[in-house]
Amino acid sequence: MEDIPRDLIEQAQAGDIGAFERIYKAASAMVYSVALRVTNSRPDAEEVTQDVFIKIHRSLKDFEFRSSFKTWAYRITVNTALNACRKISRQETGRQDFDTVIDSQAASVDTRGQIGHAEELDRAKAELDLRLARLNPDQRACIILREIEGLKYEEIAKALGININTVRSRLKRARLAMIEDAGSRGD
Amino acid sequence: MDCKKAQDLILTDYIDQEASFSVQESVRAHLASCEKCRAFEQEVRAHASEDLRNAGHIEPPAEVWNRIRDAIGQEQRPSGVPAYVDHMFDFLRESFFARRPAYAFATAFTVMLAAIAVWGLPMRRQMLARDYLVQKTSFMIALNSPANGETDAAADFNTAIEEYLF
Ligand SMILES: [Zn+2]
Repeated sequence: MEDIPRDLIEQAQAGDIGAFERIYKAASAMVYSVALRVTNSRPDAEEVTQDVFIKIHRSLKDFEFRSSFKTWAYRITVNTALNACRKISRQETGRQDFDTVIDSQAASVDTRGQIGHAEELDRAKAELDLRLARLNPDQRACIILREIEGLKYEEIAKALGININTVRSRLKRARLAMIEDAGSRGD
Repeated sequence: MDCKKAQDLILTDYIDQEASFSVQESVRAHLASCEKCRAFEQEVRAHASEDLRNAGHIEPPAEVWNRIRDAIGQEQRPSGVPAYVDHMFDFLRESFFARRPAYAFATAFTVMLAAIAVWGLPMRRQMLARDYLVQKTSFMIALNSPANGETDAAADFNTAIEEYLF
């Protein structure tokens, strides 16, 4: 996600709903994707997205540009998503929801990456689904922020409110679980 | 560097390019001489790193923004203003969205009711309420701006009674 320009944030701070909608348009795919992958459930991801933007709107007037908007948005998103995970543990139905949403929205997936055609997309989807769903939510959040969102360790630490060594140990455990999982599936 | 240390770094700082140049170099030197760790590196890249990088972003369904916008509208009601003012505005907003001329009566009637309701309040709350009504109205005008992507098709006369009345 690109960072949001300062003047747009200032317009939204002044109560301009159009400016806030533009912020939503720039950040909502990131918020929804992180929420979907952390919670593994479409309804939960929608609710998290809604909560995140209501929180952002509510505290926007106190935003003082000390950190970047992007870092702030990641922090609110990942914490809201993890709280949703703690409240609701319905992994199995969630995984079905995840399949459905990936299938139905495959066309709108950001294709600036190298995903070119349907088979590759299916393969990527299957890998995500299987590998991420078996991690615990904290490990999942770390690996999503690192690999999908491309955050540095320091940014992950800030987003999750943990120290860098905890980021390291969660990434290490997440990756060990993922390669073990790949090994047990025989590829 | 032993294999355990090398593999710890492969799982974290090495693969994520967080290690210092000298640490990266020592891992590379170890990999050059250790087939087992080279295989391990390939495995990590294939199943726990590079395979995730093309996952991309997914847009939320359009109704998510509508719910956020509604919730924000609700939150902007100051504590001095009674809740029924909001309910009237909800009704008003629906009339706006429906954009059917027959609702113009209902809309005008609601505005009148809101004005009367506000009239009955003590002075301080009247001021609050007046500011709030102004805010709410501009908020709804913003919702109805063309930026919302609505077409004017909804404004066409759709029923016999509307055609008769207007
Ligand atoms: Zn080795």
